[in-house]
Amino acid sequence: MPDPLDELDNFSAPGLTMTPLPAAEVRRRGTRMRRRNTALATVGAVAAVALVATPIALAASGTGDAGGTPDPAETPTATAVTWVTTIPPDFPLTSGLPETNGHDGSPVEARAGYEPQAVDVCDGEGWTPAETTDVQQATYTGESEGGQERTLALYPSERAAGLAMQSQTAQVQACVIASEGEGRSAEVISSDDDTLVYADHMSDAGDMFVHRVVRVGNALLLDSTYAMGGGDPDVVQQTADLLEEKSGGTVDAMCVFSADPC
Amino acid sequence: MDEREFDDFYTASFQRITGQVYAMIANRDEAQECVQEAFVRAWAHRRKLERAEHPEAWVRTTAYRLAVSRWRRTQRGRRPTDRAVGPTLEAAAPSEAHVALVAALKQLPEAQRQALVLHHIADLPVHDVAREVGVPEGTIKARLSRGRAALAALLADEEGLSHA
Repeated sequence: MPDPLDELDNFSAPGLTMTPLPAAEVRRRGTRMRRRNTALATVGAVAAVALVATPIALAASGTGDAGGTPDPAETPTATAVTWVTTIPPDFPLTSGLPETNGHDGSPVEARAGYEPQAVDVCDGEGWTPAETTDVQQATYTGESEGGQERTLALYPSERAAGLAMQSQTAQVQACVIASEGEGRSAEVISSDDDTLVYADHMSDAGDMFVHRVVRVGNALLLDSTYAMGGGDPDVVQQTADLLEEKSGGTVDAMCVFSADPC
Repeated sequence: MDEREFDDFYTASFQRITGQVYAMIANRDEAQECVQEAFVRAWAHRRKLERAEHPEAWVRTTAYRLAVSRWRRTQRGRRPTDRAVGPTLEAAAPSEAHVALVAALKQLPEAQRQALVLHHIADLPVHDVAREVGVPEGTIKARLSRGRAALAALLADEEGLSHA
């Protein structure tokens, strides 16, 4: 058997049938992708504007969730539900977080309001508490650097929370497109109607913020953590999995904000 | 980057990058598809590519990330199994040594395999590998050292078995 390093250095892919697309076809597809991306970015901006503009328009017309023409997208159940718009005092926002901060030993507690801890890759990428009815945040700071933050936000209705989720997803997807190939880049790890998990890679050194957004009823839970090793896809996935595991108790308790509360 | 420059870049580097990505993910069809898609994105983002210090590294990294994303979807069961990472088509019989090497690479932890491929097959110096992977140089050196040792052990085992 030859020296493995010689084998590596002289590696080729024998038998690899190369039938690449003609270069002109690659360019044609690339041009089509650029147009589609531009359209998607526009949709993201429009969704963000709509999220802000809709309640203003409803307020100006004197209608809200309780009045006006029913939205066809609103489920029959949703119109009949009285949503919980204030966070219960015993809500376990800090479940799964360390009890004390690593840098000074102070307790990790929930407090009213929201103060962003993570750094965004793109302007306007991060969530904002616009149109919420109540917000609480718990922040854990590690011994040296980094940590974790968790925010619970309530909206006037399930529809409003859904719009906020859609807007956040669109903003992140637009950022993924805009930052592709850059030193600072966003990456969607998974996404569906009620969950968005994404990573903001902050530099070539592997430092990153991993975010997880979960919607239950009229509530959004936003978890973020700082981690190293973002150059390794396994580490990104493990960090996201750990975030999900730690927030399990809090997400379970969010059933109080669903249309059929626990 | 104009059309002619892109076409030259594509023609000159497609096969090389595909071979490197293949060594990383051990699946030729998947490697070819991901590299193809990466070149489509390269043209879509050609202004960004113009600013990139190493366009080939940009395409390789994009192709590798695409492969990882596909793998994630496979793991989550959202992707049909016929497009999952798996056995690949061989158009010509590779040598015994080549088969053993690819099989051994496939057994290495992903991070070690990626470091070995970028350093030995893509011929990048350690600091470029570190930049491309996004970890410190010391980490790459450690991965290379462990990867070489593991690869040698795996190939030695393979040789022992074939002689037995």
